[in-house]
Amino acid sequence: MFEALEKLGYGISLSLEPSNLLYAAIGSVLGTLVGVLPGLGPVTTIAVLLPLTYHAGSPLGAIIMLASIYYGAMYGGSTTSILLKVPGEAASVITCIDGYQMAKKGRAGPALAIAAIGSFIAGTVAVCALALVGPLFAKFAVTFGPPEYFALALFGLSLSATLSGGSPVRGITMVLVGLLLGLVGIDTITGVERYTFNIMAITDGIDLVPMLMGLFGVAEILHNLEDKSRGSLLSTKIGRLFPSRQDWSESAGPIARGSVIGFFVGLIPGGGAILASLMSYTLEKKLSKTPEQFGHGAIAGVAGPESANNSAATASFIPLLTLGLPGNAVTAVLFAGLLIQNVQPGPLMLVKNPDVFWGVIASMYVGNIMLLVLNLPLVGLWVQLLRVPSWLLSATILLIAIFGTYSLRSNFADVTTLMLFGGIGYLLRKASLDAGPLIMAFILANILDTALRQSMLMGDGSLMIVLQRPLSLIILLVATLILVAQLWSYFGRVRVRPLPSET
Amino acid sequence: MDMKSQIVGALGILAAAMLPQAAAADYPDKPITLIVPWAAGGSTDQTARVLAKAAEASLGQTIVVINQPGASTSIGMAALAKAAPDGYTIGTLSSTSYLAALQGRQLPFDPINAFSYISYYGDNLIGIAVKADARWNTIDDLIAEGKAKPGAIKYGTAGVGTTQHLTSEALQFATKAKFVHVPQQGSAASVPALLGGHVDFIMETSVWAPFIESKEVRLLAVTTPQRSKMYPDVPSLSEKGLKSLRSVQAIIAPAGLPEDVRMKLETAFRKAMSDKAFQDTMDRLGMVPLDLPGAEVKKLVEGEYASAREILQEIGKAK
Repeated sequence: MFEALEKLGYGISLSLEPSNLLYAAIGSVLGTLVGVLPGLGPVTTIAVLLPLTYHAGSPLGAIIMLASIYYGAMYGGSTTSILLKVPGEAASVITCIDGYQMAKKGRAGPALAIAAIGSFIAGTVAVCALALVGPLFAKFAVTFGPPEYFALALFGLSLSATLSGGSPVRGITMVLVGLLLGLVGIDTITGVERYTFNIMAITDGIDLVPMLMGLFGVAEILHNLEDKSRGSLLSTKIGRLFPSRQDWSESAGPIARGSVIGFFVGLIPGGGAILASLMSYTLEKKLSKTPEQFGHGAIAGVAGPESANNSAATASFIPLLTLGLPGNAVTAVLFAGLLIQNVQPGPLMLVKNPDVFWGVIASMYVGNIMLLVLNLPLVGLWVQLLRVPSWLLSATILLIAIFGTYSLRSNFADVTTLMLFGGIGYLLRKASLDAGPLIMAFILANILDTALRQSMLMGDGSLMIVLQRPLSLIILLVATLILVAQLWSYFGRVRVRPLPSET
Repeated sequence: MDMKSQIVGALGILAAAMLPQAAAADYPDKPITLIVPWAAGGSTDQTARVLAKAAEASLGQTIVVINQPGASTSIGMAALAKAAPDGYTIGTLSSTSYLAALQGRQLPFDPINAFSYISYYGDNLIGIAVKADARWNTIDDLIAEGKAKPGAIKYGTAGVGTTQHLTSEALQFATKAKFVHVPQQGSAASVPALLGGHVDFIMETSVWAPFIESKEVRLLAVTTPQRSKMYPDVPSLSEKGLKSLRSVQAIIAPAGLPEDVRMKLETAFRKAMSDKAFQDTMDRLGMVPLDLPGAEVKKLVEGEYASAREILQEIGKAK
């Protein structure tokens, strides 16, 4: 353990060389700038900025720049979720819920600051854990097979129905719609197309990013257009920029718990940041003394998930660096970036290039610090964005959302998807149906379906394999408990007083 | 820019528009677009990018790589098939594209005849890999157990209908062994499935390579026509008289490309294969460079298409 810390220290000393610090600074600024553009989440940002890293002086310099771009883009994505309700990626969907409500109440400053600080703390925890136990956990990560993924997806579903409060019936309806939409596309097991109606654009399923931006961003713009009385997105005065003493005490617990949850969920290849932020949000809501504030601007609903997704993002480097397995789209792009620098992530990296291994880990840390240093002073600037006249901001967001969507795959069909889901999102809002559970179920549908059938193939056609493996059994039991507890509390409440009024 | 040069430039454009035949002699006089129907960062993307970079030198123009992934390459291939055959839009061909057509996928283009063939550049190395502690020491052991205990051995590939999957179906048909296919979501997902013991072997592109070096995985056979120079001790399926499909990597253009333009491109791309960066990238990905002229590429692809159809008929899945 001491040895690991010593090596981490060595890595950090390398990253603190002036030229490397400069790369970190350039990376964080560019990453944040591009990440702040609606629809341009970390994956696109890194892909767009990747060519810049070719020109960095050394492999370590390039990798530091990549890591800084990554953290910058993540933070940029959270910024648009909070200010504009436009998630740059799936993991920020949860942040939209309370972050945007805070912004509407003039508390965008504290929301942005707590997101940055929570991310920083979570990043620190995860980097230390990565250095200490990373290689050990990598072995554990591959024991996660289809039965475990199936159980995990069910677990996620059991959480998503009651994601943002409101009636469980509406939540479950949205979950079912999300599951149906998630099944569109080629079936992994048989190769047969399902619900594609021979439309080539959806052969691989409906693309997540345009769908996300449509359901949240475009729908929000359409909704705002209705409100002619408002000159800008923000109707109230912008309050203080930094969190108050009370904000701190409400956020400390969520940040700590989010960091830990995020780390473990992030370890699982494919588990990823979205499950982590969802789990953190649900947990905080359960633990809160004022659960009714969730969905209406609870700072804990920003602090927890933001910490969890950052911690998960860092933990997802463990399978990448120790097994050479990119667990999600972001790490896949980073993987390509490392390969270009002739660094082959994988089981041999620690043996063959220990300098680079520890350098990469240290660079994540440097990227994190740089981000905090640069972004805290910028919180004021970002908040000013809300003062931009509504017509101008809406038009700009729409324009950038269209460009961003098209640039993903140079496919105009994706722009159609964006607009279509913009319309659907608007109608859902009119019907007070929440798009959050829908998007969660959409993402989980593919894991659930594929993992279930892979499990059955492994178990010679029997589903018993899911109950026979200890890990999947435990996850399933926890999922059942949560579901029962939720139903209990809902129907328990109904019995005491009449149906709660809709919000 | 002054008025005079603007006029000269405009006249030049006008002349070029009026005399399309003369344009071939000046080809290429503007940047060329290369459509890669896969996402950025994959093996086709990486190799095509370095190859294009090297080809720029002899063409004297920039080659802009555009990724148009989706629908097992069909989206990018459809865009390429629709482009003007003027040599300014070219693309990469992978076996996945024509295999999709054989499996009942409705494509808005002819998978073979919608394209002109410029050059070949290599095969993806596909191999059968098991965990280091597996009880099979040779490919024959594995086949023998597949015959003795039909359905007991599970295997993973990148997905249904891929080159990897069809080659393993051909292997089972020829040897009467029976394995259960557990399709994974892409090549990258096959490795953790193998390492975690969720499948017993994988038939995969070189994603296993780093684990061979770390001695966590063993390679029982490769499916390339000859043994791989990187793994000279590992037999190829063809040595055993078994059929396998190639994982094709070629440069193509829309059908109807003027022959002199095609020849210019062929010369440039074949010359680019001697580029050091290209060769290093191919080595790193465990891919096998193969230099073929355009005419032979078409023959090779037609042959592969026929073999794949035969395999699908044998296993009763032809459409």
